[in-house]
Amino acid sequence: MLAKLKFIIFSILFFASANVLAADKEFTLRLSQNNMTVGENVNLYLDFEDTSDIARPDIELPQGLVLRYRGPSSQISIVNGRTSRSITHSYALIASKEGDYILGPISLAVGADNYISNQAKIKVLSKAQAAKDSRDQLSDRVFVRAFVSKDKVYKSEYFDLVVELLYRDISLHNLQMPKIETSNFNIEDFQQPTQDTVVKNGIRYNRVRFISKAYARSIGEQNLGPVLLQVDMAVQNSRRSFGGFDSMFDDFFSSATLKPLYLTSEDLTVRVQDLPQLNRPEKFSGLIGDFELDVVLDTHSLKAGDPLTMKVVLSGRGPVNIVKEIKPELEERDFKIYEPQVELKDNVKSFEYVIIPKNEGLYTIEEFGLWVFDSSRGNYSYLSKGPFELEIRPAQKQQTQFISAQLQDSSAKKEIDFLEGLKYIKERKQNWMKRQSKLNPYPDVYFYLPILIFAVLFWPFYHKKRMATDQGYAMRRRAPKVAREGLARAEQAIENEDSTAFYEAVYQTLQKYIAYKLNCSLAYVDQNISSKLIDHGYSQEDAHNVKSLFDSCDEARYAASTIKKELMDKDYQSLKSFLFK
Amino acid sequence: MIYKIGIIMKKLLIFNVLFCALLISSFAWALDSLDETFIKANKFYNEGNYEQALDNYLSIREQGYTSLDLEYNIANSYAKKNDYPRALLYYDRALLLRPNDADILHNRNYVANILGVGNDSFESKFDKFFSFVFAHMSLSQINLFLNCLSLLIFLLLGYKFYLNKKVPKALLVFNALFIIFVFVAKVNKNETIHASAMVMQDQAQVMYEPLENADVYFTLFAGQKIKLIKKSGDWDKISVNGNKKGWIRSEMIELLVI
Repeated sequence: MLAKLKFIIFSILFFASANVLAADKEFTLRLSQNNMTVGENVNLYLDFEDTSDIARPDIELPQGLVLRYRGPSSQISIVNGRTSRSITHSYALIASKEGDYILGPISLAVGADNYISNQAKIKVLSKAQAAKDSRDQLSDRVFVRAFVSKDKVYKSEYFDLVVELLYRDISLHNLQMPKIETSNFNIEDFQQPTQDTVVKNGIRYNRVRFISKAYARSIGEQNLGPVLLQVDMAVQNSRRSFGGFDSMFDDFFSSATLKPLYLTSEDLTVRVQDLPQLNRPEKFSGLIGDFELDVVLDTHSLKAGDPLTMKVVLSGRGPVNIVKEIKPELEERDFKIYEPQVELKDNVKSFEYVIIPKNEGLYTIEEFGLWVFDSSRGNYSYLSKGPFELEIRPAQKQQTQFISAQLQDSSAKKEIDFLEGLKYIKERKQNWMKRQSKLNPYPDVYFYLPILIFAVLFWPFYHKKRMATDQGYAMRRRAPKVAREGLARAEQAIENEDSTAFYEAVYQTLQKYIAYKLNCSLAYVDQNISSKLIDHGYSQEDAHNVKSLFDSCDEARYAASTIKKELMDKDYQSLKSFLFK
Repeated sequence: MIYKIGIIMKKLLIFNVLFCALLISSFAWALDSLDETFIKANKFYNEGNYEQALDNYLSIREQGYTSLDLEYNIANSYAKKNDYPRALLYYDRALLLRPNDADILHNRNYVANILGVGNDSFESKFDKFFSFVFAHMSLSQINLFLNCLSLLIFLLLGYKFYLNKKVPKALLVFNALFIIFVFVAKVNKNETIHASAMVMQDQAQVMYEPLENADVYFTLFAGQKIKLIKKSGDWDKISVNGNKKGWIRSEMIELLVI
């Protein structure tokens, strides 16, 4: 009985625990934002606690939404010795159709466990609706306005177009250049914007200002605008903290999303009228607006043939670049004018001319300029400068006599009688000479010849004189002859195999040669000659050779018969190398 | 045999004598014809027929001959014809042979006044120094002077070395230096003369480059002296006053010495 009771209790407990073990678990379905536009993507997260073994769940979504898996991220944390694990699967949710969607609850079976998520709602809007919504929500915090400098212009007259973006209490990024769709106006590119602050209705706004120039193509009341401006607004993301422990390395871009804003201005209306045809000049330059013309000459007095620089500067409110030339009218016979150097900078165009006066005299550069249309007064006007007086002096002319004064009138060149001024011709008998030689009839050889003769005769004379007066020089000059004669005798002795005669010749030749070379007596040449040779600049080797030769000569005196021919040859070569080194 | 050789030698001698006589006579005849042409030209000049006078004077020149007075007479003829630049050119050519001739100098200055040009030159300071020192000597006179100096130093050296006489070293050194100085002057004058040219046109534009459409650097006037640096086709590179350099058409100038 007791056994049965235990069995029943055990069974009850077992099934109860089984139920406990097989209970539903929860996981979180989370979105980065609850509103989105068609085509935009939003982050979707599935967070699982106390486990990291959940594989990528497949989620069914309503039509109009598309899901793209990004990947899992798992985390293990140890707090007070207790380990906890979690895993998050991330998706990109893209909406292809507008509408209100409900996501979840998602049910997931993982082993014996059942996981159930919460529900999440998301609203998908069209772009226009999103813009309108954002505008409605932000209209007092960010808006665009546009102005024109003149609401009444002439056709082709340039006017300023200003677009301003005003905003406060929001963070804007990636501001694009304004765009205007219009076919009635020609609008130039907007310049780089400027930034400052402005107060409107008592509220301070940040202002970004764009300026451009435009002109109308057709007459009548024309609409200009609206101006479209695209910019990104930074929107803060909702962040998930792990175990109540925020990451220290979180930054702005991971916690904020850039949301595009499409801003438009009000339409502008411009009244365009045509230029008056009455009294329209034939040479109208095409310029409409307010302009200034300036002409500067670098000098008013110069010599004929010298250059004069004239700078013509055109500036003002209008397209000065359409003017190709503003040139003075000058007589070709009096002036030469070159093509100008043209420069255009900051809507100021300059033409620099180089003018060369040909003749002396007083000249006037007549008034010159161009026809423009003065839009402020509504009539054509001639913008001009001048006249300019020039004094052209004669070129390098001296104060001459009356004859030069008569010649100034080049158109009436008179035959002047020079008989009184010029000396008469020469009629005497001439000594004719060849033209080539007339400049220099004395050939250069007469210059070089004496020097050459001197040089040729000088050397023998000098040598002879020195030989007679300078003993040392004479002896040194004789030494080679002594050497040659001595060697000849030594050679003869070798042929005769007469060692006595050989060494006699060697001894005498060496002694005499050294005595002549050193300009000393024969007695000076003794056994110590090798050290003396070194003192006189000979090398150790030569000194040693000489000593060896003298030693050989001494040996030969006492044992001439024992000396072989090979030894004599060797000594002969040694002697020869010393004498004719 | 000896007799035959003697006859041959005699014939050769006669032939040589006749040949030399012919040469001398032809040369003399040539000179005589030059004299005749010169006299004829003078006659035309006296009659006021300057064109014909000029033709005759220039024909002598074209035959390759000249004289001390030919250039002067040609210059006068051009002056009579109011061709002042050419007159100035020939006066300068006459001055090359006789730098101190008062008549040539007078007429040259007279024509230069008419043209409005001074006696400005293109020479550098170095050249001007030598020109100043040897202003009154023609190139042939400088050359003769140089030859004499060379002979002098030869004699001095021979006196010292060959005859063993004392000659002061200072004299030898001075002579040697003087020879060098005169030699440099001669070379300088020769170069200057051969590089000299004159502007023939009333106004001649000098360009930066030898191109028709190049920028004009400055303008020269008839009678101005310039220095020719180099030639390139129809253009000549010239310099004025030693520093301004540019290109001018060859036909606008004429060299002092051709």
